[in-house]
Parts: sequence; C-alpha cells; structure tokens
Amino acid sequence: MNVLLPMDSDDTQEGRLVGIYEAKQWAMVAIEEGQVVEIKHYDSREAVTEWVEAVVVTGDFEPVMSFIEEQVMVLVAHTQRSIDDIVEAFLFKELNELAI
Amino acid sequence: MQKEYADFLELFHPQPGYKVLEVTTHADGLTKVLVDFMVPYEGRLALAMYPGEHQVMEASEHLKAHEVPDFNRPFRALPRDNDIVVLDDILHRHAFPERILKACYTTLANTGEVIIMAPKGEMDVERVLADLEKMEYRAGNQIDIFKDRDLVMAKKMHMWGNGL
Repeated sequence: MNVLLPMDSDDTQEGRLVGIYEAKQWAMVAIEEGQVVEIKHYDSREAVTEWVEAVVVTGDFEPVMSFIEEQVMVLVAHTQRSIDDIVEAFLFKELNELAI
Repeated sequence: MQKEYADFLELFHPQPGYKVLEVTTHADGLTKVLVDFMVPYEGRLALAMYPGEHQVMEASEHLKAHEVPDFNRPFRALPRDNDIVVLDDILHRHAFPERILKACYTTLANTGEVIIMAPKGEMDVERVLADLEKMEYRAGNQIDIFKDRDLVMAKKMHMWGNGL
C-alpha cells in the first residue's frame, strides 16, 4: 500500500509532517504486510508517478478535495509528525478519518 | 444518428439529473452523442481525457472535462457521483487496470453500471469479465453493438459484495 505524506524535508528520520501548502517534499511510503518496504521522496505532488492509496494530513481542514476526487483515502494524524510515528499509527489504525 | 450510437444509448436509462462519466483516450462522436443525450434530462457528462486524440468539444453546462497526464494516474471523480461510467479504450492501456475498476466502483452510485470498450481484439474479454467479478461487479456481459469495438457491461450491486 502506498501512503503519501507531505513533509518539510527529505530526511527520513528528522523530516516532519506538515500542511499540504507548506510541503517541501512528498514522501511515498510503501507498506507491505505490516512493514515499510520503501520510502521515496518527490519534490512535488505532480512528480509522484505511483498509484497513491492513502494520504496522511495534519488536520481536518487541509485542502484534500483533489485526493478525494482521485479516490485516495484521506487520514489525519493530529499528533504524529515523524514518518516512524505515522507508520506506526497507520499500522495500528490510530489515524483518524477526515471529519467532514 | 448512426444506428450503432442509437443502440449504444439504449444501454442508458436516464432520469432527471443523470450523471455519466466517460473516461477515454479519444473524445469523439460518441462523446458528442452522450452530451446531447444529457440535455433533456438536465444531466451531466464528466469527461476524463487520457493521452490521445481528442476532438474539441463545445463548452456546455452538461459537459465537465478534465485531462489526465498519463496512464499511471487515476481519473478524478467523487464517490458515488455517477450513474454510469464508460471506459473507452482505457482499461487495457492503463498501468493499474484493477485500480481503475475499483475507482469506477467507488464513483458509481448503487446499482450503477460500468461499460468497458476497446477496439475489437485488443481487450481480453474473458479476463475483463473475470476481473469485474473479482472486483465485486455483477451481471457482467459482452454486448455486440459496435462493428469495430468490443463492449462489456457490468453492474455495481450494493451489499452484494463490496458494500459502499
């Protein structure tokens, strides 16, 4: 499963999840059988070539309409900011669905 | 109107506010026929244009078009927003055909239908029918309408598998 994250840098350890408009990098985390198998970084969302299955955003009021139109699941990480924390929360189903 | 187009329109059962999504590599006469077909029903044709040769369409309140840059990406459509999805010459070209079928399922209203077309011989009809069944569509059928195109149609059956 490919999960897309708007990040402030391409540093896998230190990078933080940020709002979509503030994103400097987009991290694509490939998760298979409960494990991260690959993390790729893209300069822009348009550069992403793989099929995105879920996107994780920082809050309920992020501009996610284009993701919804592309049938991408939108999940909200209210407190998690590092890739490790987000992946852990994703695997344990602790990320919230969008409240609309 | 060509007899083939008239026969094709027999597959549609329009009601006021009817919504159709056409995903195609070549917006052509068929697209124009569909737009004209929407007018009396105050319907809307959403047109997702993948790379290919598209005729210029007249702007209209019944036509809402967008382009998709390549065959790796999904088309844009809201969940449960369409009564019929027409995939014209897309499924066998797309890098992720199963995900396209899933995306169609999401955007179809309950009991909505998907129509898959491709130039004769380019689509493995038996495989498409099997894929449709696997993706929880029901009543998959091959229908002989166009001389030069294969056509397969199936139905999203709410609560007969995938649910919403």
